[in-house]
Amino acid sequence: MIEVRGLSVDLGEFRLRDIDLVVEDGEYLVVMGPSGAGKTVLLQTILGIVRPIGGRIVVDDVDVTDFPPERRGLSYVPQNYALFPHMTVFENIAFGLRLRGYDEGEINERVRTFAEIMGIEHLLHRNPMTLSGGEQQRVALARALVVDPRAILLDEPLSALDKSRRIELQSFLRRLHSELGFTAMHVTHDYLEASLLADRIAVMFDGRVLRVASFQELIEDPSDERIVEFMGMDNVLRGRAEKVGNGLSKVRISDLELVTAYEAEGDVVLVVRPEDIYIHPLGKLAPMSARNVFRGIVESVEFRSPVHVVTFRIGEVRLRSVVTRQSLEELGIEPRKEFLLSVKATAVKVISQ
Amino acid sequence: MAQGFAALGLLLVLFILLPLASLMVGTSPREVIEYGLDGEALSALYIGIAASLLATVILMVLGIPLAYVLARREFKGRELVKALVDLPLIVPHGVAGIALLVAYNSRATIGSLLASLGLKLEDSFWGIVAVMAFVSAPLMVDSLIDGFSGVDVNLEHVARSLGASESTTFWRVTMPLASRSLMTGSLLSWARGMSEVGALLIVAYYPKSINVLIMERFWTYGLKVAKATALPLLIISLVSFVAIRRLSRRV
Repeated sequence: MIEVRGLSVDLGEFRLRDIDLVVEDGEYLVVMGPSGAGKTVLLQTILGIVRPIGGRIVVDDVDVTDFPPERRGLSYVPQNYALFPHMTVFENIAFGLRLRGYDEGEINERVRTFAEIMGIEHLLHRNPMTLSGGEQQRVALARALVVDPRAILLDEPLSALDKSRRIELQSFLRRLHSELGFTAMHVTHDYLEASLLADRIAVMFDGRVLRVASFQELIEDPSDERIVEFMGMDNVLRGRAEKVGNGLSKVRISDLELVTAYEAEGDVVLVVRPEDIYIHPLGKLAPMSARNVFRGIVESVEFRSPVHVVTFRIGEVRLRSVVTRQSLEELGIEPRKEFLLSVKATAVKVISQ
Repeated sequence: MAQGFAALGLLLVLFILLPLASLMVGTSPREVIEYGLDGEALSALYIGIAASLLATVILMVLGIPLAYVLARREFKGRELVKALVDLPLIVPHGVAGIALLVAYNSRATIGSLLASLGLKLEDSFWGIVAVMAFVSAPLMVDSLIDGFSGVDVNLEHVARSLGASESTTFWRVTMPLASRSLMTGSLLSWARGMSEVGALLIVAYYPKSINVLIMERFWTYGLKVAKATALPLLIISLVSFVAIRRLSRRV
């Protein structure tokens, strides 16, 4: 468990102000925020690389604020993985074990066990600089986990990878965490990544932690304009999917049921872009290609140059749509009025399952 | 353009090569044995090589910590310190000799202290070492600064987080990764020491190092003898340069 109490850091351009944060045992906590928010500085302060000007850091009930990094028992996976280029993959993973004085036999056994978990047994003799980004990340994870740390701290570990690799490694990380049950603190600027990995998300802005909550809580009640802004205008929804054949699936998001042109099963995260939601007056609609038609009540209308953002409520679910001023006037969109909304199945995108 | 570049490049190579080649071609083996490998020349060669090697070792010991601090720590006056270390590069050699003599002669404060330890500056082996270390220091320190700056700090952070102390991290991660720069710096500072004459003439004419001996023989006996005396030094330098470069490429 990592407890951060009233932590303040002053690095001139980067400041952390009075941060309180707890990472529970076995928890996967994601620190999310825009670049420049101080996420990396927070990570490096907990690691002992950056000195705080105030506050305490407690790891497993020991106050480590004045400890050097090597005595904190926290493993680090930096953004560029920082594999030792003058050592083989095996020696990289063995590095921490050798420092702990394990004998050759134990080192060999532990390195091989973790290499197997990571699926990198065949790379052990290689020079790390010849590996792909995904392989490097697995080596970095093995090196961090093999020493049985109190927690591992990951700094944007997926940002250096291309999109398909990223998705693959996200699910790998999630599986790894559920299998090994380590405590993790993971920094990212990507809310989708956060949504997939996090037990809880700490949202950081301007050197402060604004909120710590589950992804579900965040999207249902962002509570802060900056958080909404950060997650973009996209409608990010979480629901349960069920295949219905013909390559379609039905996703239930509390009171709303959406058909999507993605084959999905179980818990999923959906994104519906605001411009993909059409607004119609109540009444009978002409036949059209949209598979999803449902009623929504206008909750608010907000001008964001050059368009208007209309927030609808469908039971518990909120959906944002954007319209021009002309449509706003022609349809007479104003709070508390009810409309029919339509979304094509292809516009309901399943981003993870 | 490529052809023009190749032609101009070749011109420079020839400009450098020709004098060195003519030194070799124009000297008979008999002359080399007679003048280049006589007792005086051999002992001068030994003194020159020993002093420049010792100067290089001293620069390693003192230069590694200095370069590491200059590469890694941010502090006020860092640029000033870097500039100061580079100063010997632009000071004329004779001036460097005079400055060393004024500061460290055995009647000056520090000089007398050193002299009482047996490290007298004027006309001593230690004087030669001091001169060589002075003129070579920028080459060693600059190479090492480049080397340390090129080592990703994250590597050090990771090593620390895995349980390595500051010094273990330095010796197991940082220094091995900067080893090529150490090699380059050592080679350059050794070569720079071997080629110094001006300051040696002022600080330590005796014991006669090969650098001084070649000059002296040129003045006393003329070109032919000087040439023969210089040849062994040239060959040793060339062979070590090529050998060390090949070795360091393999590292």
